[in-house]
Amino acid sequence: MPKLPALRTLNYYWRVLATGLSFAIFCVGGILLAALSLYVLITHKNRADRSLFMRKWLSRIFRVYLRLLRNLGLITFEILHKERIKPRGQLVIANHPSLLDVCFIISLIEESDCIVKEALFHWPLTAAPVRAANYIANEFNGLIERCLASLQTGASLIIFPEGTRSPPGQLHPFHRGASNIALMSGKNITPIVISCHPQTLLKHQRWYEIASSPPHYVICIMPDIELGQIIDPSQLQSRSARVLNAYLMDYFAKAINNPQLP
Amino acid sequence: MSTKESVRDHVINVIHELFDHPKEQLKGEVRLYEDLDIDSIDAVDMVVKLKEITGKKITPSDFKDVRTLDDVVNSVHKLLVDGESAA
Repeated sequence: MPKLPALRTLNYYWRVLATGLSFAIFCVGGILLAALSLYVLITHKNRADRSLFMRKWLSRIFRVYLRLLRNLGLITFEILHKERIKPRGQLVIANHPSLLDVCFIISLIEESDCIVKEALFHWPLTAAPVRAANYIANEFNGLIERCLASLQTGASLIIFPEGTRSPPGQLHPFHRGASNIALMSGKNITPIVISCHPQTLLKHQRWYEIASSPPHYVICIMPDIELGQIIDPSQLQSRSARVLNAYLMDYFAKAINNPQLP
Repeated sequence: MSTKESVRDHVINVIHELFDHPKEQLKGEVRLYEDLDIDSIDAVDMVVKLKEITGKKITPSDFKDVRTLDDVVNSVHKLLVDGESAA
């Protein structure tokens, strides 16, 4: 069948082109988003109103962007157990295999707060959006208190406990912040397990180094982890945080290698 | 008079009990954050425990410049000695 490789090649070049296009859209979209955020920063003086408005918009914008990527044939995805997501007030933790993870999660939640890399507060295109949405910089002094306050307002809080993108097929050790926040807020944890095959947009990869087939994302929202089942309340927090953190790492290590998720 | 060695034993016991580090690892020059993975929340719990043992008022700010296990021993010892000379 001589035609098939040719077709495959054609499809491959289309996807390189479309990948470039999607990055272009991402950049133009980013500029528009930055403009929108600046507008929001200027017009909405009340910080709470402003972040609520911005977070809702980010959720919509990411939903549209992901559908666009799918319609361009660049990615495929399935979202499992969407019913486990509440519009607000959840403590969500996820593994972090790709750049799009945060887009997926924010797109699912109506009002989400998120711990993001400090640098995003300084990069030109991201500074205005993360500030308008009042997201939390990971190097913020008093990070834990800030996260607790955010949960108290009723927003959902998204944390990637690895603190950076996962190594392919594996996990970095989890920081204990998410565990401590769960313990201090008394919130159960909603884990989201993300898989992406073949892997794409890795840290060392160039934008045009795309896989031979479009990456398929599975976003699986897992049942809540009930703290009471894991933690002995008579223990001090520092010890409980270690127990919970070890539990979470083990949980995710099993989940990312298990295609049959509950 | 509390000797430095008894303070050291207390500190080692507290760290061992709270964070499960083997006592052999808890040498004087070992760094709390880098080597023992003790963060600010852990430090608060450690202060609570040390307070119970020493019966002295210790505030987290007493440990502001603490980096190593020796620093903790010295700070606690200093608090105890200062307390005794004031009394």
